Amino acid sequence: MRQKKYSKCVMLIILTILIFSSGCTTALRNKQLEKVAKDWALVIRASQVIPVYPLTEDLQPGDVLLVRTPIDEQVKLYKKSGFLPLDQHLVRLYTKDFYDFYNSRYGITNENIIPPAQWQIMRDKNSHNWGIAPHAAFPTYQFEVRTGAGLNLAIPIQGVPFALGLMNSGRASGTATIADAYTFGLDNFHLEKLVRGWGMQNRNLLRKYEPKDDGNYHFLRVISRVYVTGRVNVTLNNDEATSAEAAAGADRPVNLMGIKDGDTAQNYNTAITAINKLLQDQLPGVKAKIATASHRSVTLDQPFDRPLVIGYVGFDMPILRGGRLGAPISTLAQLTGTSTLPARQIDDAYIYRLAAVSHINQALKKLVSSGNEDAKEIVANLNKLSRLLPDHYPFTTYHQPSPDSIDLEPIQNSGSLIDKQRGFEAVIDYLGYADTSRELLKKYLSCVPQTTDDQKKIVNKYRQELQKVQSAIKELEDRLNGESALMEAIDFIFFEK
Amino acid sequence: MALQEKRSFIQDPEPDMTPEDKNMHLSAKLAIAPYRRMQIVRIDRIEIGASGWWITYRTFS
Repeated sequence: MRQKKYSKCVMLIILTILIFSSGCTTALRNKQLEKVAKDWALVIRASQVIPVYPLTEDLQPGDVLLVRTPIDEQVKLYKKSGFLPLDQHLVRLYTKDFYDFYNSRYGITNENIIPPAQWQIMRDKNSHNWGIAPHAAFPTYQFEVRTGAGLNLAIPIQGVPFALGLMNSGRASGTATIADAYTFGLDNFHLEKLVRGWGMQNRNLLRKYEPKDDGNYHFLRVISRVYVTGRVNVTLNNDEATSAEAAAGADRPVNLMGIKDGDTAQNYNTAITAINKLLQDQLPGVKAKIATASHRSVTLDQPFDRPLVIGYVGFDMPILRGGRLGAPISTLAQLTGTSTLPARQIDDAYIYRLAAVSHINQALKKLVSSGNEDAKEIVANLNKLSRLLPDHYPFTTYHQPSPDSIDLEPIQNSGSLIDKQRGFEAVIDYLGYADTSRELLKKYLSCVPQTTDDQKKIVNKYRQELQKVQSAIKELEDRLNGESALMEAIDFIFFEK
Repeated sequence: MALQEKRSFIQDPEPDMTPEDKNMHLSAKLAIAPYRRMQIVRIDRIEIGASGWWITYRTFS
């Protein structure tokens, strides 16, 4: 009886150890898998490309993804995993602009050819037309592996576990080379136009993703360029062999039955053929081939039927109120926290744009006075923009006192206090004063004579003034570009909510 | 502070503008500072010599 109890106890301990040890192994395996996947992604990222994982053939410029995760969470995910999930594939937009963009090169001989279709067509069972696509190159990638980690999930080479078995090793380090790499894309200017056109026709769909009260935005992630690879080459070095047999002399060949003494070259070829047959038998359907093999290292070469996308470049467009699309921001810049794409500057129509903004503000004030609660919120957000202004005017405002003379007269001096309590009115005033001064100073400098010293002094002074005004406008516009309040106001006035 | 009358000239940005463009330009100018905040008492059109608008306004000095 006592013995029975004792054996039950031992069994329980063994079971517990087994359960915990298998849990540990799984956790370790997952950790290692994540690490190798991240390392792989880091190689792609090092080339300023956002990695795609797992590799796919089905991603191309003009693909638009709906990004649902808040951007700060995406940054965390990107830093942790090294790549981003492809999320919701919202739409694939086709355009004939590739013909102009590539100027009829790379087999894009007419505007009806939209890549990569013409390169994907198989000439015969083993060849495609990707060779004529624009080429690309990536640096080699170094890694360490152990058996039992399901490596084919991390590196797109299915024969890696087999190679480890071949070297009779549980531990290896290696290098992976992304070979036969190609790239193609389209410029942001055309793509943005394409996406905006689609966005205008699908406002009702985009409206569902307008910003909610939590302040998080949805983005349309537009793929503008993809990078593909046709072949991955991996060299594995047996770390157990190098550590245990550092002084063991010449490398030993892989042990195989049927190898004869004498003809080394013939034996080697026979061995490689036999190994490749073994690989095919053990992993049917796998295309990887062993190029060289020895006890210390194995080189694998894995071609893909057709090249697969390993990474992309793109830009994000925030979905604003009413389903309107905001200014494009580089996806990479957004994820790495570096600078974003600057908004386009339109100097020519400045006064009319500014007047339009002033009228929008007037319209909003009218709506608020008639009790519109939504307008009240929009106006409140606009008024907060006055925080972007400096405390004092950094330039002098001039006017032209007479049509008969080009002389300028100050109507408000540099250093005057800005009344930020006036909210958005203060912003319009600031830009209006700046534009008036800029316009008059430019006109003055273009026709003023510079013969006497006094005249030269005045010209110098006004040139400095013009610089001050121009930098003041640019500084405020840069700040305003990062704000959505103005876009929301335009939406509110012109589009049904 | 005494109330003063002052004048400012808004020149047409281009020669040979259509009446519609001239009016639109003046309208845009009046919508923004500094003209928006002026207490304008009279607007006259000048076509001889420099073309544009005379704006007469009142201000404290």
